[in-house]
Amino acid sequence: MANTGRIVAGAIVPHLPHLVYAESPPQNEPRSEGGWEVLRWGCQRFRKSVLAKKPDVLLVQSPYWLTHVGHHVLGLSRMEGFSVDPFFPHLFRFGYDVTIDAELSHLIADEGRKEGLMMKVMKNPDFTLDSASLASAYLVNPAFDIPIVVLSSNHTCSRLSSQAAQEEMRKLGVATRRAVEISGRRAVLLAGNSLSFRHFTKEPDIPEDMSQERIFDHNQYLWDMEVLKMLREGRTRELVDCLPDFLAAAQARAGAFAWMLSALDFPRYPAEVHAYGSIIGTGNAVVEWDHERHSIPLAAGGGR
Amino acid sequence: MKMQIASGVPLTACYIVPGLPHVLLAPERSSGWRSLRNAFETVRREIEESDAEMILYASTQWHSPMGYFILAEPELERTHVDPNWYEFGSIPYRFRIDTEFAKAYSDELKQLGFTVRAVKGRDYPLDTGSVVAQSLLNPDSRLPASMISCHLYAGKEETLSVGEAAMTALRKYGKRAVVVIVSGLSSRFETKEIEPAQDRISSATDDEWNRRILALFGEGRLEDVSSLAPEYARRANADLGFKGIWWLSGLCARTSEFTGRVFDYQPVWGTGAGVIGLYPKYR
Repeated sequence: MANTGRIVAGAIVPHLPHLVYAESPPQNEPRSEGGWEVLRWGCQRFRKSVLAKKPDVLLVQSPYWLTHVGHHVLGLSRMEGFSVDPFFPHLFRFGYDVTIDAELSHLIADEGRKEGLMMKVMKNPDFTLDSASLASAYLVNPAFDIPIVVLSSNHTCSRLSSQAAQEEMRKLGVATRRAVEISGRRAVLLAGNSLSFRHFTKEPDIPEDMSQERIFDHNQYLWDMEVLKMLREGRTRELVDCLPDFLAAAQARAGAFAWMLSALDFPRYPAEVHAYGSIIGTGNAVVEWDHERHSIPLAAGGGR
Repeated sequence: MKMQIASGVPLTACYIVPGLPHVLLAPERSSGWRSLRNAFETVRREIEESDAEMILYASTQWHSPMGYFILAEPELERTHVDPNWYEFGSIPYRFRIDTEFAKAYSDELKQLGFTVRAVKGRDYPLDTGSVVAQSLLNPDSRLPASMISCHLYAGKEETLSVGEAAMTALRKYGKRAVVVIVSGLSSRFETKEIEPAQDRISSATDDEWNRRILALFGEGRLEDVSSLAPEYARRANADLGFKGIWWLSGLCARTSEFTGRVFDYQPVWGTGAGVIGLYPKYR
Protein backbone atom coordinates (compact mmCIF):
# COMPACT_ATOMS: atom_id res chain seq x y z
CA MET A 1 0.00 0.00 0.00
CA ALA A 2 1.01 3.57 -0.67
CA ASN A 3 1.66 4.70 2.92
CA THR A 4 0.54 8.17 1.82
CA GLY A 5 -2.78 8.31 3.61
CA ARG A 6 -3.64 11.13 5.94
CA ILE A 7 -6.29 12.31 8.34
CA VAL A 8 -7.73 15.38 6.64
CA ALA A 9 -10.11 16.40 9.42
CA GLY A 10 -11.43 15.42 12.80
CA ALA A 11 -14.62 16.44 14.52
CA ILE A 12 -16.74 16.09 17.59
CA VAL A 13 -20.22 15.30 16.35
CA PRO A 14 -23.37 14.59 18.40
CA HIS A 15 -24.40 10.95 18.59
CA LEU A 16 -27.88 11.18 20.12
CA PRO A 17 -30.68 10.34 17.66
CA HIS A 18 -32.58 13.58 18.15
CA LEU A 19 -30.82 15.48 15.38
CA VAL A 20 -31.60 12.76 12.84
CA TYR A 21 -35.20 12.67 14.02
CA ALA A 22 -35.39 16.45 13.69
CA GLU A 23 -34.43 16.27 10.02
CA SER A 24 -37.02 13.59 9.19
CA PRO A 25 -34.91 11.98 6.48
CA PRO A 26 -36.57 9.29 4.37
CA GLN A 27 -34.51 6.56 6.06
CA ASN A 28 -36.00 7.36 9.46
CA GLU A 29 -39.59 6.30 10.17
CA PRO A 30 -40.58 8.85 12.85
CA ARG A 31 -41.48 12.32 11.57
CA SER A 32 -40.77 15.53 13.43
CA GLU A 33 -41.55 19.22 13.21
CA GLY A 34 -37.89 20.17 13.55
CA GLY A 35 -35.92 21.07 16.63
CA TRP A 36 -32.27 21.53 17.68
CA GLU A 37 -31.70 23.84 14.69
CA VAL A 38 -28.50 25.45 15.94
CA LEU A 39 -26.78 22.09 16.26
CA ARG A 40 -28.15 20.94 12.92
CA TRP A 41 -27.00 24.11 11.17
CA GLY A 42 -23.58 23.53 12.73
CA CYS A 43 -23.56 20.02 11.32
CA GLN A 44 -24.46 21.42 7.90
CA ARG A 45 -21.57 23.89 8.03
CA PHE A 46 -19.16 21.14 9.04
CA ARG A 47 -20.57 18.86 6.35
CA LYS A 48 -19.94 21.47 3.67
CA SER A 49 -16.41 22.01 4.87
CA VAL A 50 -15.46 18.39 5.20
CA LEU A 51 -17.09 16.97 2.09
CA ALA A 52 -15.21 19.58 0.05
CA LYS A 53 -12.07 17.73 1.05
CA LYS A 54 -13.28 14.65 -0.86
CA PRO A 55 -12.55 12.16 1.90
CA ASP A 56 -12.28 8.46 1.06
CA VAL A 57 -13.59 7.27 4.40
CA LEU A 58 -15.31 8.46 7.60
CA LEU A 59 -14.20 6.83 10.85
CA VAL A 60 -16.73 6.87 13.67
CA GLN A 61 -16.10 5.97 17.27
CA SER A 62 -19.48 4.96 18.62
CA PRO A 63 -20.46 5.29 22.28
CA TYR A 64 -23.33 2.84 21.79
CA TRP A 65 -21.33 -0.13 20.50
CA LEU A 66 -20.17 -1.18 23.94
CA THR A 67 -17.70 -4.02 24.11
CA HIS A 68 -16.48 -5.71 27.28
CA VAL A 69 -13.30 -7.13 25.88
CA GLY A 70 -11.06 -4.99 23.71
CA HIS A 71 -11.66 -2.60 20.84
CA HIS A 72 -13.69 -3.80 17.89
CA VAL A 73 -14.06 -2.68 14.27
CA LEU A 74 -16.53 -3.69 11.59
CA GLY A 75 -15.07 -6.18 9.14
CA LEU A 76 -17.90 -6.60 6.62
CA SER A 77 -17.69 -4.66 3.38
CA ARG A 78 -21.39 -3.81 3.24
CA MET A 79 -24.09 -3.65 5.90
CA GLU A 80 -27.76 -3.32 5.29
CA GLY A 81 -30.51 -3.33 7.86
CA PHE A 82 -32.80 -1.46 10.20
CA SER A 83 -31.55 0.10 13.40
CA VAL A 84 -33.71 1.18 16.33
CA ASP A 85 -32.31 3.33 19.10
CA PRO A 86 -32.55 1.34 22.35
CA PHE A 87 -33.17 4.45 24.48
CA PHE A 88 -35.26 6.54 22.09
CA PRO A 89 -37.09 3.96 19.95
CA HIS A 90 -39.78 6.51 19.14
CA LEU A 91 -37.19 8.84 17.55
CA PHE A 92 -34.84 6.60 15.61
CA ARG A 93 -36.02 3.72 13.44
CA PHE A 94 -33.57 3.95 10.63
CA GLY A 95 -33.07 1.88 7.49
CA TYR A 96 -29.45 1.75 6.32
CA ASP A 97 -27.32 0.43 3.52
CA VAL A 98 -23.70 1.41 4.08
CA THR A 99 -20.34 0.51 2.67
CA ILE A 100 -17.66 -0.34 5.19
CA ASP A 101 -13.97 0.17 4.50
CA ALA A 102 -13.16 -3.29 5.80
CA GLU A 103 -9.58 -3.09 4.59
CA LEU A 104 -8.95 -0.06 6.79
CA SER A 105 -10.77 -1.78 9.67
CA HIS A 106 -8.32 -4.67 9.45
CA LEU A 107 -5.38 -2.30 9.30
CA ILE A 108 -6.57 -0.53 12.46
CA ALA A 109 -6.91 -3.89 14.18
CA ASP A 110 -3.39 -4.87 13.09
CA GLU A 111 -1.87 -1.58 14.22
CA GLY A 112 -3.81 -1.68 17.48
CA ARG A 113 -2.36 -5.08 18.26
CA LYS A 114 1.10 -3.66 17.68
CA GLU A 115 0.27 -1.12 20.39
CA GLY A 116 -0.58 -3.99 22.71
CA LEU A 117 -4.35 -3.47 22.46
CA MET A 118 -6.88 -6.26 22.34
CA MET A 119 -8.54 -5.85 18.92
CA LYS A 120 -11.35 -7.79 17.24
CA VAL A 121 -12.92 -7.56 13.80
CA MET A 122 -16.69 -8.10 13.59
CA LYS A 123 -17.78 -10.25 10.65
CA ASN A 124 -21.17 -11.60 11.68
CA PRO A 125 -23.57 -10.69 8.82
CA ASP A 126 -26.56 -10.53 11.23
CA PHE A 127 -24.97 -7.74 13.27
CA THR A 128 -27.07 -4.57 13.47
CA LEU A 129 -25.34 -1.20 13.26
CA ASP A 130 -25.92 0.89 16.36
CA SER A 131 -27.94 4.09 16.21
CA ALA A 132 -25.15 6.34 17.49
CA SER A 133 -22.68 5.50 14.74
CA LEU A 134 -25.44 5.87 12.15
CA ALA A 135 -26.54 9.20 13.62
CA SER A 136 -23.02 10.66 13.61
CA ALA A 137 -22.32 9.37 10.11
CA TYR A 138 -25.66 10.65 8.84
CA LEU A 139 -25.09 14.14 10.21
CA VAL A 140 -21.86 14.42 8.28
CA ASN A 141 -22.82 12.58 5.13
CA PRO A 142 -26.55 11.90 4.80
CA ALA A 143 -26.05 10.32 1.37
CA PHE A 144 -23.94 7.56 2.92
CA ASP A 145 -21.93 7.48 -0.31
CA ILE A 146 -18.56 7.47 1.46
CA PRO A 147 -17.42 4.25 3.15
CA ILE A 148 -17.30 4.26 6.93
CA VAL A 149 -15.30 2.51 9.61
CA VAL A 150 -16.90 2.06 13.02
CA LEU A 151 -14.90 1.50 16.19
CA SER A 152 -16.52 0.23 19.38
CA SER A 153 -16.30 1.76 22.84
CA ASN A 154 -14.42 -0.51 25.14
CA HIS A 155 -16.63 -0.61 28.21
CA THR A 156 -13.80 -1.93 30.35
CA CYS A 157 -11.94 1.33 29.77
CA SER A 158 -14.59 3.10 31.77
CA ARG A 159 -13.72 0.92 34.76
CA LEU A 160 -10.03 1.72 34.57
CA SER A 161 -8.65 4.79 36.26
CA SER A 162 -9.26 7.82 34.11
CA GLN A 163 -5.55 8.08 33.30
CA ALA A 164 -5.32 4.41 32.30
CA ALA A 165 -8.42 4.71 30.13
CA GLN A 166 -7.03 7.80 28.40
CA GLU A 167 -3.77 5.98 27.77
CA GLU A 168 -5.66 3.09 26.17
CA MET A 169 -7.53 5.50 23.90
CA ARG A 170 -4.30 7.34 23.10
CA LYS A 171 -2.83 4.08 21.82
CA LEU A 172 -5.93 3.44 19.74
CA GLY A 173 -5.56 6.91 18.25
CA VAL A 174 -1.93 6.27 17.35
CA ALA A 175 -2.89 2.94 15.79
CA THR A 176 -5.69 4.61 13.82
CA ARG A 177 -3.38 7.30 12.48
CA ARG A 178 -0.79 4.74 11.39
CA ALA A 179 -3.44 2.57 9.75
CA VAL A 180 -4.80 5.54 7.80
CA GLU A 181 -1.29 6.43 6.62
CA ILE A 182 -0.63 2.86 5.48
CA SER A 183 -4.01 2.66 3.73
CA GLY A 184 -3.40 5.66 1.49
CA ARG A 185 -6.89 6.96 2.39
CA ARG A 186 -7.99 10.54 3.02
CA ALA A 187 -9.81 10.02 6.28
CA VAL A 188 -12.14 12.05 8.48
CA LEU A 189 -12.44 11.10 12.15
CA LEU A 190 -15.76 11.54 13.93
CA ALA A 191 -15.89 11.35 17.69
CA GLY A 192 -19.53 10.60 18.49
CA ASN A 193 -19.34 12.35 21.79
CA SER A 194 -21.45 14.71 23.84
CA LEU A 195 -19.72 17.15 26.18
CA SER A 196 -21.44 17.30 29.58
CA PHE A 197 -23.78 14.35 29.93
CA ARG A 198 -26.21 14.94 32.79
CA HIS A 199 -29.63 14.74 31.23
CA PHE A 200 -33.28 15.03 32.08
CA THR A 201 -35.09 11.78 32.75
CA LYS A 202 -38.41 12.98 31.42
CA GLU A 203 -39.11 13.95 27.84
CA PRO A 204 -41.62 16.58 26.81
CA ASP A 205 -44.73 15.18 25.14
CA ILE A 206 -43.45 16.62 21.87
CA PRO A 207 -39.76 15.62 21.79
CA GLU A 208 -38.87 18.57 19.55
CA ASP A 209 -40.60 21.12 21.80
CA MET A 210 -37.71 23.55 22.06
CA SER A 211 -39.38 25.52 24.82
CA GLN A 212 -38.38 22.56 27.05
CA GLU A 213 -34.80 22.23 25.87
CA ARG A 214 -31.96 23.70 27.91
CA ILE A 215 -28.66 22.64 29.42
CA PHE A 216 -29.17 20.51 32.53
CA ASP A 217 -27.50 22.96 34.91
CA HIS A 218 -25.19 25.93 35.04
CA ASN A 219 -22.23 23.88 36.23
CA GLN A 220 -22.43 21.74 33.09
CA TYR A 221 -22.65 24.85 30.96
CA LEU A 222 -19.54 26.31 32.58
CA TRP A 223 -17.60 23.09 32.04
CA ASP A 224 -18.70 22.89 28.42
CA MET A 225 -17.61 26.47 27.81
CA GLU A 226 -14.25 25.82 29.44
CA VAL A 227 -13.69 22.78 27.23
CA LEU A 228 -14.69 24.65 24.08
CA LYS A 229 -12.43 27.56 25.06
CA MET A 230 -9.46 25.22 25.33
CA LEU A 231 -10.27 23.66 21.99
CA ARG A 232 -10.60 27.06 20.32
CA GLU A 233 -7.21 28.01 21.72
CA GLY A 234 -5.53 24.78 20.61
CA ARG A 235 -4.87 23.64 24.18
CA THR A 236 -5.66 19.98 23.55
CA ARG A 237 -2.86 18.52 25.69
CA GLU A 238 -4.00 20.66 28.58
CA LEU A 239 -7.54 19.52 27.99
CA VAL A 240 -6.55 15.87 28.14
CA ASP A 241 -4.91 16.58 31.50
CA CYS A 242 -8.18 18.14 32.68
CA LEU A 243 -10.41 15.39 31.34
CA PRO A 244 -10.66 13.43 34.62
CA ASP A 245 -12.08 16.52 36.33
CA PHE A 246 -14.42 17.21 33.43
CA LEU A 247 -15.63 13.62 33.37
CA ALA A 248 -16.33 13.65 37.09
CA ALA A 249 -17.95 17.07 37.24
CA ALA A 250 -20.12 16.84 34.15
CA GLN A 251 -20.76 13.08 33.94
CA ALA A 252 -19.06 13.31 30.56
CA ARG A 253 -17.91 10.39 28.44
CA ALA A 254 -14.74 11.21 26.59
CA GLY A 255 -13.36 7.98 25.13
CA ALA A 256 -13.98 9.02 21.55
CA PHE A 257 -12.62 12.46 22.29
CA ALA A 258 -9.29 11.11 23.55
CA TRP A 259 -9.06 8.71 20.61
CA MET A 260 -9.56 11.48 18.09
CA LEU A 261 -7.20 13.99 19.69
CA SER A 262 -4.52 11.31 19.87
CA ALA A 263 -5.04 10.35 16.22
CA LEU A 264 -4.68 14.05 15.34
CA ASP A 265 -1.53 14.14 17.48
CA PHE A 266 -3.04 16.66 19.90
CA PRO A 267 -3.44 19.65 17.59
CA ARG A 268 -2.16 23.01 18.81
CA TYR A 269 -4.08 25.01 16.25
CA PRO A 270 -7.55 26.44 17.06
CA ALA A 271 -10.52 24.19 16.47
CA GLU A 272 -13.56 25.62 14.71
CA VAL A 273 -16.67 25.44 16.90
CA HIS A 274 -19.57 25.30 14.47
CA ALA A 275 -22.30 25.00 17.10
CA TYR A 276 -23.13 24.35 20.72
CA GLY A 277 -26.49 23.32 22.13
CA SER A 278 -28.24 20.93 24.44
CA ILE A 279 -30.04 17.66 23.74
CA ILE A 280 -32.32 16.55 26.61
CA GLY A 281 -30.06 18.58 28.84
CA THR A 282 -26.68 17.21 27.71
CA GLY A 283 -24.08 19.55 26.23
CA ASN A 284 -23.33 18.96 22.57
CA ALA A 285 -21.08 20.67 20.08
CA VAL A 286 -19.95 20.41 16.50
CA VAL A 287 -16.21 21.05 16.54
CA GLU A 288 -13.90 20.73 13.55
CA TRP A 289 -10.18 20.34 13.23
CA ASP A 290 -9.22 21.17 9.65
CA HIS A 291 -6.16 18.99 9.85
CA GLU A 292 -5.24 19.16 6.23
CA ARG A 293 -5.04 22.94 6.19
CA HIS A 294 -3.08 23.09 9.42
CA SER A 295 -0.69 20.34 8.49
CA ILE A 296 1.07 22.59 5.99
CA PRO A 297 4.68 23.03 7.19
CA LEU A 298 5.33 26.08 9.38
CA ALA A 299 7.54 27.68 6.74
CA ALA A 300 4.52 27.82 4.45
CA GLY A 301 2.42 29.59 7.04
CA GLY A 302 0.74 26.66 8.79
CA GLY A 303 1.89 24.34 11.51
CA ARG A 304 0.32 22.25 14.22
CA MET B 1 -41.97 -6.06 62.19
CA LYS B 2 -41.13 -9.12 60.16
CA MET B 3 -43.00 -9.10 56.90
CA GLN B 4 -44.37 -12.17 55.24
CA ILE B 5 -45.39 -12.94 51.74
CA ALA B 6 -49.14 -13.21 51.91
CA SER B 7 -50.62 -16.57 51.08
CA GLY B 8 -52.10 -16.87 47.65
CA VAL B 9 -49.07 -15.19 46.18
CA PRO B 10 -49.17 -15.43 42.38
CA LEU B 11 -45.58 -16.63 42.09
CA THR B 12 -44.44 -20.13 41.26
CA ALA B 13 -40.75 -19.35 41.70
CA CYS B 14 -38.09 -16.70 41.16
CA TYR B 15 -34.84 -17.41 39.37
CA ILE B 16 -31.66 -15.44 39.02
CA VAL B 17 -29.72 -16.41 35.91
CA PRO B 18 -26.70 -15.04 34.03
CA GLY B 19 -27.22 -13.40 30.65
CA LEU B 20 -23.99 -13.84 28.73
CA PRO B 21 -24.16 -15.64 25.39
CA HIS B 22 -21.43 -18.21 26.10
CA VAL B 23 -23.77 -20.59 27.89
CA LEU B 24 -26.23 -20.60 25.01
CA LEU B 25 -23.88 -20.52 22.03
CA ALA B 26 -20.66 -22.18 23.12
CA PRO B 27 -21.23 -24.50 26.10
CA GLU B 28 -18.87 -27.07 24.64
CA ARG B 29 -15.87 -24.76 24.99
CA SER B 30 -15.73 -24.75 28.77
CA SER B 31 -16.77 -27.22 31.45
CA GLY B 32 -18.10 -24.26 33.47
CA TRP B 33 -20.27 -23.01 30.60
CA ARG B 34 -21.52 -26.55 30.02
CA SER B 35 -22.35 -26.89 33.70
CA LEU B 36 -24.33 -23.64 33.62
CA ARG B 37 -26.15 -24.85 30.54
CA ASN B 38 -27.18 -27.98 32.43
CA ALA B 39 -28.41 -25.81 35.30
CA PHE B 40 -30.50 -23.74 32.88
CA GLU B 41 -31.91 -27.01 31.57
CA THR B 42 -32.98 -28.03 35.07
CA VAL B 43 -34.66 -24.67 35.61
CA ARG B 44 -36.38 -24.89 32.24
CA ARG B 45 -37.87 -28.25 33.28
CA GLU B 46 -39.00 -26.82 36.61
CA ILE B 47 -40.77 -24.00 34.83
CA GLU B 48 -42.40 -26.39 32.41
CA GLU B 49 -43.65 -28.55 35.26
CA SER B 50 -44.91 -25.58 37.26
CA ASP B 51 -48.34 -24.01 36.97
CA ALA B 52 -46.90 -20.68 35.84
CA GLU B 53 -49.06 -18.89 33.31
CA MET B 54 -46.59 -16.18 32.37
CA ILE B 55 -42.90 -15.35 32.70
CA LEU B 56 -41.78 -11.96 33.97
CA TYR B 57 -38.25 -10.86 33.11
CA ALA B 58 -36.07 -8.05 34.43
CA SER B 59 -32.65 -7.91 32.83
CA THR B 60 -29.74 -5.83 34.09
CA GLN B 61 -28.59 -5.57 30.47
CA TRP B 62 -31.71 -3.74 29.37
CA HIS B 63 -30.96 -0.16 30.39
CA SER B 64 -33.23 2.82 30.20
CA PRO B 65 -32.05 6.31 31.11
CA MET B 66 -35.49 7.93 30.84
CA GLY B 67 -37.69 6.10 33.33
CA TYR B 68 -38.84 2.55 32.61
CA PHE B 69 -39.50 0.61 29.44
CA ILE B 70 -42.02 -2.20 29.31
CA LEU B 71 -42.33 -4.31 26.20
CA ALA B 72 -45.75 -3.93 24.66
CA GLU B 73 -45.35 -5.43 21.19
CA PRO B 74 -47.50 -8.59 20.98
CA GLU B 75 -44.82 -10.64 19.29
CA LEU B 76 -41.12 -10.13 18.71
CA GLU B 77 -39.24 -12.36 16.35
CA ARG B 78 -35.73 -11.36 15.34
CA THR B 79 -32.14 -12.43 15.27
CA HIS B 80 -29.86 -11.00 17.91
CA VAL B 81 -26.08 -10.70 17.75
CA ASP B 82 -24.10 -9.97 20.88
CA PRO B 83 -22.03 -6.79 20.48
CA ASN B 84 -18.92 -8.43 21.93
CA TRP B 85 -19.10 -12.17 21.28
CA TYR B 86 -20.62 -12.09 17.78
CA GLU B 87 -18.23 -14.79 16.61
CA PHE B 88 -20.15 -17.34 18.70
CA GLY B 89 -23.05 -16.93 16.30
CA SER B 90 -26.45 -15.31 15.95
CA ILE B 91 -29.43 -15.92 18.25
CA PRO B 92 -32.82 -16.21 16.57
CA TYR B 93 -35.53 -15.62 19.16
CA ARG B 94 -39.23 -15.24 19.61
CA PHE B 95 -41.15 -13.56 22.41
CA ARG B 96 -44.90 -13.71 22.81
CA ILE B 97 -45.64 -10.69 24.97
CA ASP B 98 -48.48 -10.52 27.47
CA THR B 99 -49.58 -7.05 26.44
CA GLU B 100 -52.45 -7.00 28.94
CA PHE B 101 -50.05 -7.44 31.80
CA ALA B 102 -47.71 -4.90 30.24
CA LYS B 103 -50.53 -2.39 30.41
CA ALA B 104 -51.50 -3.38 33.94
CA TYR B 105 -47.93 -3.00 35.17
CA SER B 106 -47.45 0.29 33.31
CA ASP B 107 -50.63 1.65 34.88
CA GLU B 108 -49.43 0.72 38.37
CA LEU B 109 -46.11 2.46 37.78
CA LYS B 110 -47.75 5.55 36.34
CA GLN B 111 -50.04 5.77 39.36
CA LEU B 112 -46.92 5.89 41.50
CA GLY B 113 -45.60 8.75 39.40
CA PHE B 114 -42.95 6.89 37.43
CA THR B 115 -42.14 7.61 33.82
CA VAL B 116 -42.99 4.55 31.73
CA ARG B 117 -42.77 3.95 28.01
CA ALA B 118 -44.58 1.06 26.37
CA VAL B 119 -42.04 -0.15 23.81
CA LYS B 120 -43.62 -1.13 20.54
CA GLY B 121 -42.17 -2.14 17.21
CA ARG B 122 -41.01 -5.57 16.11
CA ASP B 123 -37.48 -4.31 15.48
CA TYR B 124 -36.74 -3.08 18.98
CA PRO B 125 -33.23 -4.30 19.87
CA LEU B 126 -33.54 -6.53 22.90
CA ASP B 127 -30.52 -7.07 25.12
CA THR B 128 -28.41 -10.22 25.04
CA GLY B 129 -29.45 -11.20 28.58
CA SER B 130 -33.18 -11.29 27.89
CA VAL B 131 -32.65 -13.19 24.66
CA VAL B 132 -30.33 -15.75 26.26
CA ALA B 133 -32.72 -16.34 29.15
CA GLN B 134 -35.73 -16.71 26.87
CA SER B 135 -33.84 -19.07 24.56
CA LEU B 136 -32.86 -21.34 27.42
CA LEU B 137 -35.88 -21.12 29.72
CA ASN B 138 -38.87 -20.55 27.46
CA PRO B 139 -37.53 -21.57 24.06
CA ASP B 140 -40.81 -22.06 22.24
CA SER B 141 -42.34 -18.99 23.84
CA ARG B 142 -44.84 -21.36 25.48
CA LEU B 143 -45.40 -18.86 28.26
CA PRO B 144 -46.29 -15.30 27.36
CA ALA B 145 -43.64 -12.94 28.66
CA SER B 146 -43.41 -9.51 30.14
CA MET B 147 -40.21 -7.49 30.48
CA ILE B 148 -39.17 -4.35 32.29
CA SER B 149 -35.95 -2.41 31.83
CA CYS B 150 -33.48 -1.30 34.49
CA HIS B 151 -33.67 2.44 35.00
CA LEU B 152 -30.03 3.46 35.16
CA TYR B 153 -30.47 6.20 37.71
CA ALA B 154 -32.94 4.57 40.07
CA GLY B 155 -31.77 4.03 43.63
CA LYS B 156 -32.78 1.36 46.10
CA GLU B 157 -36.08 2.75 47.33
CA GLU B 158 -37.30 3.50 43.84
CA THR B 159 -36.30 0.08 42.55
CA LEU B 160 -38.02 -1.61 45.49
CA SER B 161 -41.19 0.37 44.70
CA VAL B 162 -41.05 -0.65 41.06
CA GLY B 163 -40.77 -4.28 42.18
CA GLU B 164 -43.70 -3.86 44.57
CA ALA B 165 -45.77 -2.45 41.74
CA ALA B 166 -45.07 -5.61 39.75
CA MET B 167 -46.60 -7.69 42.55
CA THR B 168 -49.61 -5.37 42.79
CA ALA B 169 -50.12 -5.70 39.06
CA LEU B 170 -49.76 -9.48 39.21
CA ARG B 171 -52.34 -9.77 42.00
CA LYS B 172 -54.80 -7.62 40.10
CA TYR B 173 -54.11 -9.48 36.88
CA GLY B 174 -54.71 -12.82 38.55
CA LYS B 175 -52.20 -14.95 36.67
CA ARG B 176 -49.42 -17.00 38.23
CA ALA B 177 -45.97 -15.91 37.14
CA VAL B 178 -42.48 -17.25 37.20
CA VAL B 179 -40.05 -14.37 37.72
CA VAL B 180 -36.60 -14.33 36.12
CA ILE B 181 -33.93 -11.79 36.99
CA VAL B 182 -31.22 -11.81 34.35
CA SER B 183 -28.15 -10.70 36.28
CA GLY B 184 -24.59 -11.76 36.69
CA LEU B 185 -22.83 -11.83 40.06
CA SER B 186 -19.40 -10.15 40.00
CA SER B 187 -18.89 -8.52 36.63
CA ARG B 188 -15.15 -8.01 36.31
CA PHE B 189 -14.49 -9.33 32.81
CA GLU B 190 -11.16 -10.71 31.70
CA THR B 191 -9.97 -7.92 29.44
CA LYS B 192 -8.00 -10.10 27.01
CA GLU B 193 -8.78 -13.19 24.98
CA ILE B 194 -8.78 -16.24 27.19
CA GLU B 195 -8.81 -19.96 26.62
CA PRO B 196 -12.41 -20.82 27.57
CA ALA B 197 -11.30 -24.06 29.22
CA GLN B 198 -9.14 -21.93 31.55
CA ASP B 199 -11.95 -19.51 32.46
CA ARG B 200 -11.91 -18.52 36.14
CA ILE B 201 -13.34 -15.79 38.36
CA SER B 202 -11.03 -12.87 37.62
CA SER B 203 -10.57 -11.78 41.22
CA ALA B 204 -10.27 -13.84 44.40
CA THR B 205 -12.15 -11.13 46.31
CA ASP B 206 -15.00 -11.26 43.81
CA ASP B 207 -15.11 -15.04 44.18
CA GLU B 208 -15.22 -14.79 47.96
CA TRP B 209 -18.05 -12.27 47.82
CA ASN B 210 -19.97 -14.27 45.23
CA ARG B 211 -19.84 -17.31 47.48
CA ARG B 212 -21.00 -15.29 50.48
CA ILE B 213 -23.99 -14.03 48.50
CA LEU B 214 -24.74 -17.49 47.14
CA ALA B 215 -24.74 -18.91 50.66
CA LEU B 216 -27.47 -16.41 51.59
CA PHE B 217 -29.45 -17.25 48.47
CA GLY B 218 -29.11 -20.93 49.31
CA GLU B 219 -30.88 -20.20 52.61
CA GLY B 220 -33.55 -18.20 50.81
CA ARG B 221 -32.43 -14.95 52.47
CA LEU B 222 -33.35 -12.57 49.67
CA GLU B 223 -33.87 -9.59 51.98
CA ASP B 224 -30.39 -10.03 53.43
CA VAL B 225 -28.91 -10.12 49.94
CA SER B 226 -30.87 -6.98 49.12
CA SER B 227 -29.42 -5.22 52.17
CA LEU B 228 -25.91 -6.35 51.32
CA ALA B 229 -26.18 -5.40 47.64
CA PRO B 230 -24.44 -2.00 47.90
CA GLU B 231 -21.45 -3.43 49.72
CA TYR B 232 -21.36 -6.46 47.44
CA ALA B 233 -21.48 -4.17 44.43
CA ARG B 234 -18.62 -2.09 45.77
CA ARG B 235 -16.42 -5.00 46.76
CA ALA B 236 -17.09 -7.34 43.86
CA ASN B 237 -18.20 -5.04 41.07
CA ALA B 238 -21.58 -6.76 41.02
CA ASP B 239 -23.60 -6.57 37.84
CA LEU B 240 -25.21 -3.11 37.61
CA GLY B 241 -24.81 -2.65 41.35
CA PHE B 242 -26.89 -5.83 41.82
CA LYS B 243 -29.95 -3.60 41.67
CA GLY B 244 -31.96 -6.31 39.95
CA ILE B 245 -32.15 -7.89 43.39
CA TRP B 246 -33.84 -4.79 44.79
CA TRP B 247 -36.54 -5.09 42.17
CA LEU B 248 -37.03 -8.75 43.12
CA SER B 249 -37.01 -7.90 46.81
CA GLY B 250 -39.72 -5.28 46.26
CA LEU B 251 -41.77 -7.76 44.28
CA CYS B 252 -41.43 -10.28 47.10
CA ALA B 253 -42.56 -7.85 49.84
CA ARG B 254 -39.00 -7.34 51.10
CA THR B 255 -39.00 -10.69 52.85
CA SER B 256 -36.83 -13.76 53.10
CA GLU B 257 -39.73 -16.18 53.11
CA PHE B 258 -38.17 -18.51 50.59
CA THR B 259 -36.60 -21.84 50.17
CA GLY B 260 -33.43 -21.24 48.21
CA ARG B 261 -31.44 -23.38 45.85
CA VAL B 262 -28.16 -22.62 44.12
CA PHE B 263 -28.12 -24.75 41.01
CA ASP B 264 -24.68 -23.71 39.86
CA TYR B 265 -21.91 -21.16 40.15
CA GLN B 266 -19.27 -20.81 37.44
CA PRO B 267 -17.04 -18.23 35.76
CA VAL B 268 -17.96 -16.73 32.41
CA TRP B 269 -15.08 -14.72 30.99
CA GLY B 270 -13.93 -13.84 34.48
CA THR B 271 -17.34 -12.79 35.78
CA GLY B 272 -19.36 -14.73 38.32
CA ALA B 273 -22.43 -16.52 36.97
CA GLY B 274 -24.94 -18.22 39.24
CA VAL B 275 -28.17 -20.04 38.53
CA ILE B 276 -30.33 -19.59 41.61
CA GLY B 277 -33.89 -20.50 42.53
CA LEU B 278 -36.09 -18.96 45.22
CA TYR B 279 -39.38 -20.65 46.07
CA PRO B 280 -41.99 -18.79 48.14
CA LYS B 281 -42.90 -20.61 51.37
CA TYR B 282 -46.41 -19.22 51.27
CA ARG B 283 -48.37 -19.97 48.14
